[in-house]
Amino acid sequence: MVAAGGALGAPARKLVGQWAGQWVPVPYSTFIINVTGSLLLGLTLGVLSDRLPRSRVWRLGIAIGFLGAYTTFSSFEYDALRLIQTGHPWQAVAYLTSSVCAGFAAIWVGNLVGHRL
Amino acid sequence: MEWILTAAGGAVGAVARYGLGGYIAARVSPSFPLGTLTINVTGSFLIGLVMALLSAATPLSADLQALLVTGALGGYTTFSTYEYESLQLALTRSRKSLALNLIGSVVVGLLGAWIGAIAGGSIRAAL
Repeated sequence: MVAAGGALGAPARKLVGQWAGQWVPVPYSTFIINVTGSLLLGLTLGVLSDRLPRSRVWRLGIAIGFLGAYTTFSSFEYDALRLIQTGHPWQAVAYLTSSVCAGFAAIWVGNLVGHRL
Repeated sequence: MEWILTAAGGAVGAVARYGLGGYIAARVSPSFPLGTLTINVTGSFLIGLVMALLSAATPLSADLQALLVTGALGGYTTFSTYEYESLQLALTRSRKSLALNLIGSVVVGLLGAWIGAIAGGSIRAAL
């Protein structure tokens, strides 16, 4: 289940990244991926913990496999490193801070909504 | 081809994350998400290393990037679990652990990517 989720999550990230890349500058496609993935993880685990507390299959497939692979920490750090290396350290700080804060808000909201569904 | 390589890399990366995460979780206190932190920092080091080793001139560069970077390392590291575990620390009012996880992961991960990039550059120069 984890492998199947990962095999779908990574191409989904590539697809959303290419689509979002048409509208926003480079690192912000990863921002969109990480924030939407965090929202969906909060929602998924909120629903699962109430409705299917013993379901390992969905937890492994969607939460750990798909959403774990859809979101990425390595590209997030690499994008920030590139901003610093190309002489934009403050943009790197803004990118890192906004990603972490927006992702945190997204998972909090997702989890609240998930528990109410 | 790039899509298949990304899927294959993603499957391997996700399983490696699940395996290593479980291994670490079984050995440390559950009060701090050390597994995800370790995964994200090592993955950040590896992305710096691999991106420095690959260049447009490398044979099969686009395919290797799809397999190793977008697929395996993207699937291995995770942002959503990092945020979820941070939320759990916030909900249990573990303020120090929350700050350490949120800020520590980002700072140490960035250092990891930087060291990886330097190591990759040195290896390329030596080849």
